Amino acid sequence: MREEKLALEHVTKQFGQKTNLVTALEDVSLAFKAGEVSLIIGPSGSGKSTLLTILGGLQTPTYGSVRLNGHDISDLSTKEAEKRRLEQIGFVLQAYNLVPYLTVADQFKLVDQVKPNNNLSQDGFYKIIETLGIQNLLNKYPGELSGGQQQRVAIARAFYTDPAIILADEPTAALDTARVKEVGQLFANIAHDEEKAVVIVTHDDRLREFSDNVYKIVDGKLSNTD
Amino acid sequence: MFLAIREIKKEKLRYGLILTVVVLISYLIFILSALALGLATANTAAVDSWQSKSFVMTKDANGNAGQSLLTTKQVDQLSDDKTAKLGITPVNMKIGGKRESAQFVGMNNEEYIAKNLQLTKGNLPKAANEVVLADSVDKDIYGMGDKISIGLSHTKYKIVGYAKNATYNTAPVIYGELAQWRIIKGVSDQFQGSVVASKTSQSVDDKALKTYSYQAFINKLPGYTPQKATFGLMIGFLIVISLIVITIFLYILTVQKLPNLAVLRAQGIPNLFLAQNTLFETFFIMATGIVVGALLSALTEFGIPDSVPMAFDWGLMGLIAVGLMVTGLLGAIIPIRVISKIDPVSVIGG
Ligand SMILES: Nc1ncnc2c1ncn2[C@@H]1O[C@H](COP(=O)(O)OP(=O)(O)O)[C@@H](O)[C@H]1O
Ligand SMILES: [Mg+2]
Repeated sequence: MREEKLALEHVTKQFGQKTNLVTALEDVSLAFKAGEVSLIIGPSGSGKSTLLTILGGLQTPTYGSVRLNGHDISDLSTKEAEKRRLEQIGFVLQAYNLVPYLTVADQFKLVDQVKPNNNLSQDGFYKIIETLGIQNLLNKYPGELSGGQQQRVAIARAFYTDPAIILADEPTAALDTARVKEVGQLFANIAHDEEKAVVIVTHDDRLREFSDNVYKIVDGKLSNTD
Repeated sequence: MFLAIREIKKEKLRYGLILTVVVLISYLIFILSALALGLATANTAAVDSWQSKSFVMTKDANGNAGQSLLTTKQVDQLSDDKTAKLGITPVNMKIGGKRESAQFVGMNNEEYIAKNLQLTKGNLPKAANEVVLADSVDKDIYGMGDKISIGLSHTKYKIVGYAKNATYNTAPVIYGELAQWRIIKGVSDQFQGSVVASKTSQSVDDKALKTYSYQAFINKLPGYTPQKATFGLMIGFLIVISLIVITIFLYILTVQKLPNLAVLRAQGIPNLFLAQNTLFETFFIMATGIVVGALLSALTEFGIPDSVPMAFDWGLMGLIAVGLMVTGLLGAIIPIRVISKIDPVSVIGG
């Protein structure tokens, strides 16, 4: 059996109070294993981003707990949480992934500034940017790239720290079908070859064929479709 | 530093503008402080050159030497080998059709003030109708050997020399013989002078007299203290304005970058790294602005006409530069707080 990297245990997340109460997630239990791509599919407003940010430790559940490598991470200090995000988690977020005043190459150098060690090797880095087709964009600023190119750079950026866990929020939103297949394959390869836990939340059905597990989320409730 | 340098490089217009503002503010502060110092010097240069510790004059004069009249008896009582008698009065000096405000300072050649006087040319007045003028006067008008009329006296006074640092209450000084003071001022011969200066402190028993220390004497020069306060206030305000400007600028920039900063925080880029970066950015803007401002001030020093009393004291400017820098860095506090309070989820969610 594969090693569990990350898990949600009866997680409920509510916003607001009384009449304004919004339940974004309701009693969600999920486990993500190293070496697997897990896809969580749901329509807009179903709670996908909320789920992902709780997994990444950016917010805490109202009820329930989050386990990372078998340990409850509910009460980590801000600094510890920061360190854990930097070292163990690669985020691909919906927007603003790239710093506008840094060239593509500098987006990665920025990571070197705060985490000098255990990032991708030169070879590993080139392999990934070639797969993503961004090797010729290194000297460009994000503003000079198309939406799809920006998204691919963001994916490379998430991989750069060589994290054990990759959390991606709508990573294929701006990509055409051919690119979706390449990116999907890249996620699958990374998970399978390098024993990473990849969690993707999306409404993009095109990613199904690259996933090991597919979950459906509607109105904050989960259902395993397989 | 990594982020700051690249951001400034990329956003040249934005940073160019704020830099311009900092340059102008620091330039203005430097020039104002030079003007303040220049004016202060024009007020006190002559008094400074007298190298005196205390001054006695009549109480009624309220510290204004030009208003003080000492009787022969009073002068005799005060005088000893460490004192010097002065007859100071504001006057008009006339040559040809020209008139100019000046301060006549009558002195006794045997006493220390006359002896210490530094002349740039010529010699001390040796006769009743000889005077020494401030070196700062226009020599085309007040040439060596020219004759001028002073105050109420009918005598034509011959210019026999020029003295260094001879401005009193911003007017050029005319040094002459003490006995001429009474005639120029038009007072009766019961009065012998207006001030008795001393190299040491003096105490007086006479209720009609009052002793002023060097500093008190300076502060009582007409207009001197209000001028100093005005300049101090202006410089203080400018420093506060620079604080507000830099805070607003950094705040707006930070708020504008908030989504990106939030993502960086989500990715685990430490708070401290981002805070240091803002601090460095501020340091860079302030340092560059101050240096350019100082260079402009130096250029101004060469270009400014002599009639504008400006004095550049690089030590004082250094102090102001440090003050501006500290102010700027204080301006970074609010943006740094904003950064440290970013909630990544607020930007990412949805
Ligand atoms: N910070 C928040 N405050 C209040 N409501 C929120 C907040 N974050 C998310 N929600 C609500 O929770 C629900 C799920 O949101 P989200 O997780 O962003 O969905 P998705 O990413 O699937 O579009 C939505 O109804 C949204 O309005
Ligand atoms: Mg979302």
